[in-house]
Amino acid sequence: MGRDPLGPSRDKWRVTAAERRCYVAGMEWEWDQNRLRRFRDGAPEVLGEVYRAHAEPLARALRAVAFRGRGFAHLQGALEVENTVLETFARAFEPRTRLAYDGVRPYAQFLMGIARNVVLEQSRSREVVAGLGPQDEGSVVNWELGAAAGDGGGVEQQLEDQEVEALLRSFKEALSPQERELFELRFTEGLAQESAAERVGLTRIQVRRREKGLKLRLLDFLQARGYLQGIQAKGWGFLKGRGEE
Amino acid sequence: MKCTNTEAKAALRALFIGELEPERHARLREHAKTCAECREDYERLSRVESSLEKRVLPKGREALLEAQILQRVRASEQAAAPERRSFWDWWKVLLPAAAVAAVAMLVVVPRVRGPGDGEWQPRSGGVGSAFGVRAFCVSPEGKVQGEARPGGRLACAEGAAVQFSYTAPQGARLSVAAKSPSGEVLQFFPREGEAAPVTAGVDVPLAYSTPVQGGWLSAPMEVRARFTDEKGQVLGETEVTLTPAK
Repeated sequence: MGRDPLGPSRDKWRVTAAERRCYVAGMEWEWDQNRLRRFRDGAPEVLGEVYRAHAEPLARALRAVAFRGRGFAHLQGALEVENTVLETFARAFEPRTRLAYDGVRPYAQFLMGIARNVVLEQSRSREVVAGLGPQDEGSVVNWELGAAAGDGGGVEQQLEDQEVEALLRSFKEALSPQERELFELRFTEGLAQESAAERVGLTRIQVRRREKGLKLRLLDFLQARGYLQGIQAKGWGFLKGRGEE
Repeated sequence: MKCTNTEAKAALRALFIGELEPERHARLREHAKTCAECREDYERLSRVESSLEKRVLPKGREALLEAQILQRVRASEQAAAPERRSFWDWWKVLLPAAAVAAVAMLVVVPRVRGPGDGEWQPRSGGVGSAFGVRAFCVSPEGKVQGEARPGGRLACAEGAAVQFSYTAPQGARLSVAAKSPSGEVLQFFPREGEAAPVTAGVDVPLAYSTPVQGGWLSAPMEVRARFTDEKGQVLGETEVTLTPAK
């Protein structure tokens, strides 16, 4: 019997046969008849809910696969993960595919089946471009087993993660207590601007402005330490400079 | 080789501070596919955001991808059902109907309001007698630089943001959209899909503003706001012209 394709992240996904209820990042929803009908009709708000509930678990699963099968190393990169997430949901939300979902089995499982095809197609086209023969897809990674575990990661990636985390810690230590609180609420805890504003006693507009200021300071901080130097540091000069060499 | 694509560099910055629009995000990802330097920056930016949020897919990127996915869904559904075509086709039908209704109103009720009354009085207090929207141009510092009443013009510069507020004497569904000079329909409210429900109120700001970025406001543009009831009957319509500020 295969393991849960979502692995440990299933802890957040308590799906009972009785109610098919999902708990994801504090959001609770279920596939009732009305939701399923609206999903099949393509109601944007329901598609948005389904996407937001499943995008991060799918991205985690893809990242985990990247470190398991030798044909999927490209998924170690954010750009490829994003492209795969986009392509997977675009296919999953096509009218015919929406109708194919029965509302009974976990949607995450349904989605992983589509993601698997997307990734295998990507992998095949890479092999063709690189002049390699087709790999035995079954042996490359067992999708029922493979998309489990945590984020994984090679040594190089882990070292870079540690470097970034040290930089972020150092940045946070230099913030005032109020700034640090806002920073944690918005960026670490992921609170909405309205909720963060309530917690720190500011208006949403004030939070928005301070948040932008913090991000710009963080960018300066990282660039001063040799990180993210290819990113434009200030202003929108490219608009004035269009057409200039 | 050093990348000289300044738009991509600026887009990376906008992505980091949460000001990138879905269309520019798509262009940036396309560019990063073939540009090793920008791709590396894109990956590093993602690493910082992921580290901050403890997520593989940072929330900002998740939202940008959502907009692009829903856009693709809409496009594929329109391709599959051409009869459900565009917003503009609705206007072709609704405008003559509204004109006939307006003429009929003029004949039956020649003058209900006093001579000094405007079409719409969003700040007169209490629930207004008509549906309408106003547009504001807000600077990056949050300062209102200009406003336009229904039928008016609003100049707004690149880097600022356009904010709409509405007045509705009863709950309704609202859509605010414009047609760009290239014929593309630009939807200000809601961001996606059909008209969204709004509650009754006077001068209620819409939940979000639209940054003037990426050149979408490079020529005068008529923005139309349409209020409808649950059955799709038009309750009110207004128009504001947006123009690029010099």
